[in-house]
This record gives sequence, C-alpha cells and structure tokens, in this order.
Amino acid sequence: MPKVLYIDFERCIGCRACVIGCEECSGHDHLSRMFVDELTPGETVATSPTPCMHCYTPLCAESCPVQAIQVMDGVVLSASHEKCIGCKNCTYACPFGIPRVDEAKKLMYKCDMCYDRTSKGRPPMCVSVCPTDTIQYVDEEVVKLKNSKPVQYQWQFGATEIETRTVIGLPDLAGHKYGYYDAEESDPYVGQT
Amino acid sequence: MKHIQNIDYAMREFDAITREGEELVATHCAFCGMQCGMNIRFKPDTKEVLGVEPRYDFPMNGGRLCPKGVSAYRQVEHEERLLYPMIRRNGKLERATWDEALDLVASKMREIQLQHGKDAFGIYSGSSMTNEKCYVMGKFARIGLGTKNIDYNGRYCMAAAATGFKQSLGMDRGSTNPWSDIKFADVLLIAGSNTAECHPLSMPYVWGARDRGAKLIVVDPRETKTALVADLHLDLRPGTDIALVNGIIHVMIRDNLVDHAFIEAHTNGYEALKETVAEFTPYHAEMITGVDQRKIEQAAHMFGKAREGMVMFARGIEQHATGSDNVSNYVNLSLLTGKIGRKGSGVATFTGQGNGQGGREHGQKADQLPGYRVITDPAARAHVAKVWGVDESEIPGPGISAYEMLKSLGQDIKGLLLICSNPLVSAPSIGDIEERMRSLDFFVCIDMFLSESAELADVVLPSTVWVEDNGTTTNIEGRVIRIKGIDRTPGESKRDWEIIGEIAKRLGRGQYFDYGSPEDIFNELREASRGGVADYYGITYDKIDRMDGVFWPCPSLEHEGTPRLFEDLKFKFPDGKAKLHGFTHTGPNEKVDKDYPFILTTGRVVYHYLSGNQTRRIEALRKLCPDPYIEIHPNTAAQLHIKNGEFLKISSRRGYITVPAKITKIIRPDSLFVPYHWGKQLGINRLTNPALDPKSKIPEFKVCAVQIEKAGEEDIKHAQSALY
Amino acid sequence: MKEEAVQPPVVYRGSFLRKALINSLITAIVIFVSVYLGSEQFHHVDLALIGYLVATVLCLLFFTMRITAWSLRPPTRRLWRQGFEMMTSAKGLKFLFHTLGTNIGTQKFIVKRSWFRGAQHLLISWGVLFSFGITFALVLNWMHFELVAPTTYEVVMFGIPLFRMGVESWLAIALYHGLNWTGIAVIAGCAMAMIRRVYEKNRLVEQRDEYDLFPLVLLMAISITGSLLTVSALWMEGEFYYGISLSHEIVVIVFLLYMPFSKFWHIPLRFLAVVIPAYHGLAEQKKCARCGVEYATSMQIQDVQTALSKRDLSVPIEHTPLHMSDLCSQCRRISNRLSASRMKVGLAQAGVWVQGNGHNGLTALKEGEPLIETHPEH
Repeated sequence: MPKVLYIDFERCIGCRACVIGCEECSGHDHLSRMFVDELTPGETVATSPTPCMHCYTPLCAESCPVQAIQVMDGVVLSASHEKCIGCKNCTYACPFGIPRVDEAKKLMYKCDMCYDRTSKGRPPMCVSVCPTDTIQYVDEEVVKLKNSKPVQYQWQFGATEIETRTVIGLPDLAGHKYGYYDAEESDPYVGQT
Repeated sequence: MKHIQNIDYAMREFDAITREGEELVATHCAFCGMQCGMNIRFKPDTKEVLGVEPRYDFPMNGGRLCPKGVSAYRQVEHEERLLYPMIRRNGKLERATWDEALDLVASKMREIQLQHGKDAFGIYSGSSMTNEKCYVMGKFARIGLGTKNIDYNGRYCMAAAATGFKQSLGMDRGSTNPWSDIKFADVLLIAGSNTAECHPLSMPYVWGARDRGAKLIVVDPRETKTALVADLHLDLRPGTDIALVNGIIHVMIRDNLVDHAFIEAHTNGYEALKETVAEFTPYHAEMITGVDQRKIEQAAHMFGKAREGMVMFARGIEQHATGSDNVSNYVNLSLLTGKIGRKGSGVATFTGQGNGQGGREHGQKADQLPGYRVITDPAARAHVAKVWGVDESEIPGPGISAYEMLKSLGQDIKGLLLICSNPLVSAPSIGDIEERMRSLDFFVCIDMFLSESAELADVVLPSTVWVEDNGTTTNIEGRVIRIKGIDRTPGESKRDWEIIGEIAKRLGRGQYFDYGSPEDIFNELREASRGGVADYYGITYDKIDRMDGVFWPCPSLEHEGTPRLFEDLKFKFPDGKAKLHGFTHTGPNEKVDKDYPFILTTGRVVYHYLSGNQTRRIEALRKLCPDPYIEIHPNTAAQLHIKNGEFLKISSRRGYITVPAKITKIIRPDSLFVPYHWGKQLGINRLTNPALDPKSKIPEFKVCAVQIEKAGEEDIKHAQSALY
Repeated sequence: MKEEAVQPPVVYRGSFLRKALINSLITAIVIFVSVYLGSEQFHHVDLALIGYLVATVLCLLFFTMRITAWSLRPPTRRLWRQGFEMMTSAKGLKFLFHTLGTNIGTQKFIVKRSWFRGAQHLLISWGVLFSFGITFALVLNWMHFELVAPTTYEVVMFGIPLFRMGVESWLAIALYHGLNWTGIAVIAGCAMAMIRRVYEKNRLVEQRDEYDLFPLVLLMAISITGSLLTVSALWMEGEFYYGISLSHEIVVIVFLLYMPFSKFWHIPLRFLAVVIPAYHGLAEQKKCARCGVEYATSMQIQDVQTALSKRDLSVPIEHTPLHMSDLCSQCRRISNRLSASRMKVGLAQAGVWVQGNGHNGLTALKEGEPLIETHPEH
C-alpha cells in the first residue's frame, strides 16, 4: 500500500527540526524544502509545517514551460537539473505555496519525499526527526478513509478539484485539545483591519 | 529484543540507512538532558563527519530530534574549532606547543598555591561533559590540586531542584519516574518549563498523555506552546510560585482533595503546612500572582481529583532566590495527593544541561564526593579516599558555590581553571564578573571553541567535541547511557581527561590520573559511587548497550537498575517518610518600583543551547535565531509607542543592553522576556540579579526589575554592530 | 521504477499534426536549399558523408517536431511570445545579450551549483557545440576546402570563398584538427561527469543509468572513435582506419537519432531560458494580496493564470476576482491552514475577507459565520 505524508498541524511546536532535517537527506544538496509558518504571529505561537502536497495533477508541472517536473513512484520530484530554466511559474501556480527557486543556481527545488529514504522503505527525514509526530508517513488509504479526525486531501478551487497524496489533519475545533487557538482571547480583535 | 524497561517508549520499527563508503556511530545528542539517541555518519578512512542519521530504535526519542540535535554534528568539522594550545603573549593569544602550555599551567598552579595557599586556585567546571570527565574534575580538584574550591555551572541550573528534592524526598534524582510514565498521567502540571522549546523531545510524551485524554495545567508567565494547549494556563507574575502553589494547596485541603491516608502513613509536617497555607485563599493568591482565582480553584480540582498525575518543572521555578523552596512546594502537591511512586505519578525536573544529572552526582560540586556523597560525611570521605588510594585527610572540605567563586576571583581565588563552561554568558550580572575575571593572576581555559570567557584566558587548551570521545552521561530520567565517539582529535586537540592527566603529571600527581580510557575512569567511578545514593556500581558499558541505558541506583552487577523511585513509598529519610514543608510568600529578591517598573524574565529558544558557544556557531541554527530580542506585550508597547522591530534599551540596576522589540501577546503586559544565549553587548545576563537562594546558591535569573526606553542613536549603532 | 507522463498530449493533437507537418516541411526545405547552395548546386557533395547527412536531416526533423509539440503547450507558447515581444525593445535586447553571455557562454548558474559541475559542463557543452558547428557545416556541405595552389587551401562557404591559408599553416592545422580539440574537451568533460556520478552516488539519488550515464558513454564513444581516426592517420599509417571510421559513423548516427529524445533535449530548452531575466526584470512588480510583499511580476501571474485556465485548472478564490497565485507562497500556505481552522483570513491588500469554502478551497466571507480574524502580517 503506498505511503503518504500526513500533517497533523495542531501538534506542531514550531521547532523547525523538519526544516533543518530536510537538509540532511542525500539528494537535497543541503537545501531545505520544508516550510514552517507562524500562523498568527504576535498573537500565539501556533505554527504549521508544509511539505509538498504531491498532487495527482500537479499544477507546478502543468505550468512548467519546459516540462521539468516529473512524477515518479507517486512522488512529484524537484525540477530536473538540466531542464529547469528557473522561470518560477511553478512557484506561482502551486495553490499550496511549495516550490522555490534558487536564484543563483536557477533551479527550482521542492520536497521529493526524500526519494533516497522512501525508496528504501524509510520515512522521509522530516518525519524521522519531527519531535511531535506532526509529520507522519502512513498508508494512504488508511489516513484518507479511516483517520480518527477529519482530513483534507480533496481541494475544490472553483470548478477545479485537486486531489493530493499528502493529507492534512484538521485541528480539533470542538475540544481544541492542542489549543490551536483560544477563541476567547482573540475575540477583542475581530473587526480590526 | 528490547528490554522490558523500554516498552512504553517512543522507538520506531525502522533501521537506520548506512550508505556506501560510510559508517554510523550510535551515540547521543550533545545538547540538553534528554540525551536523544542519534547516529553520526562518518567516513571510516578519514574520520570525516558527514551528517546525522536517525536512531529509530533508541527508546527515548525513537530517532526524533530537535533542530539542535539535527545540526549538532555541524560543530565537529567547524572552521572555528580550536586546533592548538594558545598562550597569551603581549596581550594576545598566540599558538604554543602543548609542552609550553602545560608546563606554564602547572608552574602557575604551583606558584599561586605556594604563595596564597592551596585554595587560591579554583576550578570552575561544567555539566555538559560525560560522567567520566565530571568525576575526573572533582578528583583532580581534591587530590590533584588539593583545592576545596571546585564548583560547576550546574549551580545555575539544577542546584535548586537538587536541594528541593533532598529536603522533601531525602534524595535527588531529577525524575522519580521513567519518561514513558508521562504518557500515563491523567493530569500533568508543568511549571516554569517551556517544554516545546527547551525539551522538544519530551513533547511526544506530553502529547502522548494528551492523546490519552490527560488534562494539562501549565504555570508560566508566557503563553508557550504547552500553555496554548493547556486546559489551564496559570499565567502568574514571575516570582510568585509559592503563593500560587499555596493557593492550590489551600483549595485542595479546603475541598478535601488531599490523600489523608497517604499523608498519615508516608509524610511528616502536614499540620504545619496546613497552617501556612491557611491564609492563601484563592483571592489572596490572585492578588499576589495575578492568576484568576477561578483558575486556581480549577487547578486544585483538576490535579486533586485525577487518579494519576505528574508534577514537572524547570528553571522557571528554580532560578529564584527561593528556588529550592519553590521546588519543595511543587513536590508538596504530589505528596499531598499521594501521586508518587506509580506509573503516571511522580515528580520531575527537566534537566537542562546535557549531563546535568550525572554532572551533579560525581563530585564536581563544592560540597560533594562521587555517588552523591556529602563531603563532610566521614564515612563518605573514608570510602572515597580508599578508592582514590589517598589518606582521608588529603581530601579538602567543602568549597564555595559557582557564583560565589566568580565573585571572589582576584581576591581569595587568584588562579582559575575553567572547563566546559562559559560564565561570561551564563552567570548573572556578567558585567561585574568580567572585571573579576580580568583581575585573576592566572586563568586557564579548556574548550573546543574560543568562548567569550576563553577570550580572557592566559592559556587556552583545545579539547574535543562530544562525538570525539567515549563515555557515559545520565539523562533527564536518571538513565545512564553511552556516548560513543569517533577516534579523531582534529589538529592538536586532546580529550579533556587526557589534558587533566597531563597537568596532574606535571604537578607530581600523575599516578592518580593515569587512565587508559574512559572505561577505566568509569570503572573507578563505579567503585567510588558504590553504596552512595547515586550508586553506579552495577552499571557497566556492556549492560548499558544491552539495555539501552540503565537507571541508577544499580547497586550490584545482577541488578537491572531502578527506573521508578519510591515504588515502596520509602523516602530517603531515617523514618522513611517524606517531608511536607510549608513556605510563605516573600516574593522575588528585587521588586519592581517606579524607576524599574517592569519584570524581566529570561529563558531559552529552541535553536540555542545554554551559552550558545556551540549553537551560535552552527549556521543553520544561527540563521533561525541570530540575535536576542525582547518580547513585549502589545498593550505595553502601545503605551510606550513602541513599534515592532524597534530597538529598545533595557536596563536594570546592574547594566543594560539594546535589542529589537518583538511585540507579542504571549507575554504578560507587566513582564518582558529576553533569551539569554548571547554575551558581550547582547548578554541579557548583564541585567540579571545575582541574589542567591540561601539553600542551593542558585541565582535569581528569572526575575529582576528593569526599565525600557527607546534606544538612542548611539545605542542603536552599537547594537546593530553587535547583531549578526 | 516507472515514470508517469505528467501531461497527456491529447488536447492539442489536431493542431499539433498540422503544425508539425508545416514546420517539418519548412525545416526540410531550408535544409535542402542550404545544401543546394552550400554544395554549389550539388557540385561538391561529399559522398563519403552521405550516411551522416541522412541522420542529420532526420535528427533536425525530429527536433522540429518535438519543439513544435513543446511550444504548443500554453505556458511554453506564452513564454516564447513574451520573450519575442520583449526582445523588440532596446532594454530587452540588452537583457538578451547579457543573458546569452552568462547563461550559455559562461554558464554561471551551473558554476554556482559547484565549480566542478561548471567545469565539466563547460567542457562538454562547448565541445559538443563546436563539434556540431564543424560537422554540420561539412556534412550539410555548407563549407568545403579547395586546393587552389599546391600549398594553399581556400575555404569556401556557401560557394563564397572566405580566405586562403597554407596547407601546413597553423590556422589550417587548427581547422583540420578542430574536431580533435573539441573531442578532447568532450572526453575530459565526460570523464569528470562520470567521476562525479560515481563519487557523489550517495547524493544523486534520482540518477538513472539509461538516462544519465548512457549519453555520457555515447559522447565518449564518439569522441574516442573520432580521435582514433586522427591517431590512425597520423601515427599508424592508416591501420584500422576503415574499421574506426565505420564505428565512428555508427555511433554518430545513433547519437543523432537518439538526441531529440534524450537528455540532450535540454539544449533547445536552454534557449528559452535566455528570456527569463528580462521576463522577471522588465515587467512591473506585483504585491501579495494578503501581506503586500512584492513577489512576482503582474505579467507572469497573468500568464500563469491564463496557462492554467487553458488546461481547465484555474485555482480561483471563489466569489472574488482573485486566484491563489495572487498571494505569495507563504500567504497561500498560511491561508490554507487558517481556513482549515475555520478562521477568517484578511487579504488586506485586496481589501477582502475570505474563509474556507467547505471543500478546502477559499471563498469570500459570508456574513454571520462564527470565525476568528487573523492579521495579515508576517
């Protein structure tokens, strides 16, 4: 059964071990492909990691003028070194904000699920190091259909539906067990622009 | 097969990847008391260190690492490593040979001791070294140099917890329970610990408890990640822990949430405690702490009603002039409700330093001999003297504590050996300490990088980084584990214990320090600790490998260690009963007033380790947090018309620094927070209060009174030049 | 290891066939005319090179068809057009020449990846490009040498005498042996590349022998057999010459037919790369609709949105004029997470509030939904 990345972002502590861990994967050329974003800076310490969503129809590849982005074994790879012309189309087309372009090397780079590791049956580096299991490497079918909490993997943008291999777990808004936000405290700021 | 002690831990079912032409050494992280397992990748022929590979099968972390852990190996091949000895000539540190440097050190030691007495040469040691090295430092001070004056930086870190545990439970092991027990608590009370940043690898256990439905109470003036998640965040005013806990105890006693049978059978002092807390009604506690009294009531109920519960704390409650009493008061919560000695019930402190646990057990503390023995105890002295092969009278008495030692530099103490520490970042009131250090007759420093403190030394001796030596450390839970090294010593660097051996030889005491390997030292340590509180006698290197670490006490070779203390509810007092102490609120040593109207509290960030001598040099970490900043609440910022990123001059009665403002709601409006990993003009410890806890001698880093103002142009220029 | 085609080539089939035919025809005519003119009405056709000629023509036709297919893709077509338009201005031309120098001339971007890779690629690419120049000129009969005096050659290009030189002159030797010099460069470059591929095997996790190593072997084979021809002629009195020349011809033909469908396909792509600096540098900058950071040019965002809509893959923010690409990458990531947490997201620059659309996308805020606001700063 194919395995995919699962992001349960309310568990994230924002330590960025995944960001530095990503540099450690062979084939990543010490360039991190991982993101950790502060979600409400100045308000709370809530953060979320974002690896590549590994779409079934990757818009990065669709927008690439030189067809430099390939899919291999269910992984949307980084741009091919010899083809990529550094045009940045992919960085704009991706609705999840994943690809980046190294300006000096004129090369797009993004998460390839640590091809080196996953092809040998080991979890990617971000999954391996994540202290809180915010990033997990799990069976696609299990996490999409039988997960204990609601998940996102079908994304409807207008008429376009994109299915991603990577799955995002929605925060527990009823109990907010991981305290994703504190509704009471944020209230006074509603209405401010 | 995994040992049964590890079954509830976080290991995973994967094997590490070994790549062609590479080898792995299975060791542990250099940073923090978690001592996470990791594999270091290296080239077998050149011994070049290449990277890190997860050690999925190690119980504590199962291959998981924080950003410091991932990048720890990057200090090994670092270009700023010290590669040869240096001697100060004409005011400048210049390259020298080992013989020149060591001869100079030995002759200066002799000269100073001859002129000013044995105790005029001090040793200031550290806890980020293996047990073997810590043991050697204690032994070297007592019978190599013959000085009573040795102490270590754990005084700023673990001293209050150690003293607090001893006065409540009769002994000190950082955690009474194995870390996997955290998952089985029904309630976790975490006080003064930014666990997510300072001990990220404890989070799988905290989240594990959460996944099982545990309640979480967090006591912290800042809304850290754990506080954000908590069912109850008790956002107290810094320095008011005793009042807060008294309030909680008051409610527990009032609402009959205490375990009378347990108190009766296993504790002393209940009535006095009850009397002390009588005045601490929730309202009264709210007035002192600033925590809503309803939350205090809820906390008492949440903790009191739970079946299993753990009380965990860290420097946030310990680095106070009442630090050891704060600790005892939090321990009272466990004792009053009988939550100790079971799976999911106990008390623990989060050990900060890599070997903060082992480093405080084997005799580098001013008043202590190996095995957690007390230096004034005749039996202890006799035992250790026998193991060392010296006459008991040769072992000096107790010395003075770390900060007191720094204060007497240039006066009673004329010469100093500094190892594994960087007090010019980590000590309180460093402006003053710098002057003291400059007034020394002779100052020798052993380090692998030229730290802020080493820059002032007369002789600097290059040592190796953690993964270049073998040895053991004792982690946050009291588990003794093995640090395995790669056989390499870059440039002319030497391992610390070899350097000490060389100095001892030159002092004519070489016969006591003639070790062939760290294992030799460890075997002597086992004997020295035998029968002590921290009994390592039954722990061998092989047993550690076989069991993935052995919990002390382990008194015999057949014994498999003691993961959980007090299962028999026999506490380490003659009558076997724990002591309930009552404390009344006195507040911090320095109170806010109209000149210094804000409370300053300090702490760590996830990207840096202690004085930053290592982590500030690792580019990946420095990029994520290059400089200190001051956290300030938006309301406070608005009152003072401060914008985000604006430079602020923050000053106390002892000094000032200029750093950019970071406006955030996670800090209380009456408090300010600055991380402490920097020195020189960026060192917040220029401001901190050196008031000591009279019992443990820990300084009050966590509270001092400050004022802030917008920085003038001159200060901004100054600050910007210091920023990375 | 299986490779999935990312773009199904279904959509443009009709127009592709027509365009491919037209373009191939044009290419064929151009080749025919150039051979006709170059060989001075077929007077100077070198029959020994006829095998090479056929392969070269096929190679060029294959390239023509693949380039046609490639250029029909909306993003490619768009970028070509933008490139041509920009090159009409003086500024654009300046960009063009500068980029030609740094991208194709000195290949600075590869040197930045590592100096070793830079060196190997410079050797291979310039070796191959010069070899092409010489072989195509000879094979297509654009150029030939005429012995005009017992010790003097005349170089004739497209029937036009260019210059004369002594048979033994330095220039003549440099010219006859042109292919040897380029061959040596290619051998050195390929050797470096192979060494890297072995030495850095642990890092080149996605390399495949048939895709990454075979082209190097092929180039090596061509260069070595070519050089052996000279060795045989100069030092071995023509021993094995026929065998060597036959094997050289075979590998070259294999190479020419393989080239358009291999790693060498990147050579035409590189010419599109030349327009990128102008594309990024000349148009006006665009601000992120949420945080206001300048993250792209308006022109490129428009182009990307058009390209995606032609593939029926637009990613709009519903009930607003905005698309996801109107946010910077970071704001796209944050907005997705905030909407997943049922918070409302303020797109301050665009002056709209958005929220989750119930299907994981974004839509304009509906009144009356209990949501929490977030600040659009980071």
